Amino acid sequence: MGELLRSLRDQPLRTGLGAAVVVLLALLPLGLNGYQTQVVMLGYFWVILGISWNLLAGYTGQFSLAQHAFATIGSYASAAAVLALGLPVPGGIVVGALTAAVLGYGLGWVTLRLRGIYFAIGTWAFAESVRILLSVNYHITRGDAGLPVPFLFATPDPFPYYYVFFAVSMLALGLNAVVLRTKLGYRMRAIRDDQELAVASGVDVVKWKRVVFVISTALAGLGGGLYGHAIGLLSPNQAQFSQMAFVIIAVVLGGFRTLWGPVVGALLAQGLAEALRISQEWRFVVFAALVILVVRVYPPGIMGGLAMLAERLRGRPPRSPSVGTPVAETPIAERGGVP
Amino acid sequence: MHEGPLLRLDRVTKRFGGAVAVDGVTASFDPGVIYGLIGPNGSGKTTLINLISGLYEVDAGTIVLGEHHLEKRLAHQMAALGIVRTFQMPKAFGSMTLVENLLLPVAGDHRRESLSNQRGRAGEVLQHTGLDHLADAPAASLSGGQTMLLQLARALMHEPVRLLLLDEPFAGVAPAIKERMMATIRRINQERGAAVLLVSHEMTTIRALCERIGVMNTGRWIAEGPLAEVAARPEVIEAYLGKPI
Ligand SMILES: Nc1ncnc2c1ncn2[C@@H]1O[C@H](COP(=O)(O)OP(=O)(O)O)[C@@H](O)[C@H]1O
Ligand SMILES: [Mg+2]
Repeated sequence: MGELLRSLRDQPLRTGLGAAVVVLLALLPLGLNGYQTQVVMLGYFWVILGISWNLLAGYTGQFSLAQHAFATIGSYASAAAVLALGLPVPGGIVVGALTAAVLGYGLGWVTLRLRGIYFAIGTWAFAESVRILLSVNYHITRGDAGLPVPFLFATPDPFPYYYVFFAVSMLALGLNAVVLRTKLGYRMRAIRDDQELAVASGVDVVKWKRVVFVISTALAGLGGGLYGHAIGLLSPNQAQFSQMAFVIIAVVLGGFRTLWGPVVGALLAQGLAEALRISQEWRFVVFAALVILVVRVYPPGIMGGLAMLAERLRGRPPRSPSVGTPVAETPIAERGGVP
Repeated sequence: MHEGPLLRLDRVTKRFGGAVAVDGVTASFDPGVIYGLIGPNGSGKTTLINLISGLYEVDAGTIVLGEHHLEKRLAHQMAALGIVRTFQMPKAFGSMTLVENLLLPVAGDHRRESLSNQRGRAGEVLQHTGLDHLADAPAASLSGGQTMLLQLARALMHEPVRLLLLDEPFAGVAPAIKERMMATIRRINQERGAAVLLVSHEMTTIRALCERIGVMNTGRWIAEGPLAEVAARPEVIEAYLGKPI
């Protein structure tokens, strides 16, 4: 916390800009109609998922492909708690986040010793299983017909929802900023850069990967719980791979491994998706082209680019653009306890 | 207080497939002494360091540090016991700054100090090693020699340090940096009372730093003792030196 305050003070321009963006987003609904507010509100769902994925994939180097599945688990677990157990909606959302965290702990146990592509495949297989289970158990979940769930607020007005999503997004952003400056944040980045060296420095790599996985899945589950009670209808399609792809697109566009990248990228991607609403096929072509463009031309993304520009203006040598490389591979250690 | 040797290896063996990389090594190391370890390429020096630091598991034999058996411990627990190492291919956390690299050992699981309390020490260590002008540069931007130096600087941030394992730390390092590295090795040895096991091919540096040396050949530990005495043995001359020194 002290470290965070110190860096906020030492970088007044960045702090000011950040604060200005937060204030702007808080005032945004005043200039929007109901429909537009709803669109931006759903953009925050992607912000939350983007932050949760960036913690894991960006800062810790664990390229999970199950973030959307944990959001879906949050949605359905919350629905179950509300519909079957009669919990109030906020209680259901907490249950959704906890369920995602517990399943995240389990999946982490199984997959976090795997490396790179195998970890990605393992998490992707899990996500597909979630989608299929929700789809085939239609006597419980109503399958693809969709499961109606109660709304969080009694009003259909999107404004209160906007502020709930906004607040959770900013809390997640703040949590991310704090974590990066704690020992956990140092361990995460060390694990991403070189697992063998992290181990030799006394870091229990498997344990801390698991901790980050649980934080990340809890956050995704929280986002999913909120989403369900804002939309009022759940569907197994929430666990479709295209949803994960959208998270990746948003984060890469905004800036993989940057604090504000998921915020900027998710809101931008949401706006773009809305603009391209008329044609679903074109939507993905445009997104695919954009991601290829960013990765080819400028891997650090929008926020990575701004950070480098700022360094250059301050007359510092720019940091290597390698921060955009998605998966860090370090040599495989032989010993059982070392991943 | 524990008396006697700091580290005892008893018939330590490691195989890779059919090949025996370390073959029944028995040796002991006293606290506070700087040891040299020489031997031709492929004689098992790096493998021995990987075994002591827990990166590899032994196939047979025992490794005992003070009163702790190390064979079944996980690699991250070695730092808590005071075993600190560098890598032959120098390693750094490339995307992190030099200061952050130095603070990383403080984020080891066994450490209780806060990061902010150790910042001052990190700055002092950077100054001591002459890397202070690069404090906020990402480690990926360093040259190979500077990365070697950073590995040693990071060792200074460890706590405790009882045994420092250095795997060819001078390879490819410019003379000016080499001087600073030697000063740092001496400092860790004296300040912390740490034993050092220094793998090197450079007899001049070994002579300058090491009280005793060990020699390996084809995975075996073939000699140990004061440099002059060991270097005179015929089997050492034949295996490694080629000619008397
Ligand atoms: N991870 C490994 N897998 C297979 N063989 C290895 C491995 N590490 C070392 N070796 C083999 O073990 C022997 C000793 O290697 P090493 O310990 O690196 O020797 P040195 O450091 O003395 O040059 C060599 O024959 C080498 O090829
Ligand atoms: Mg070697």
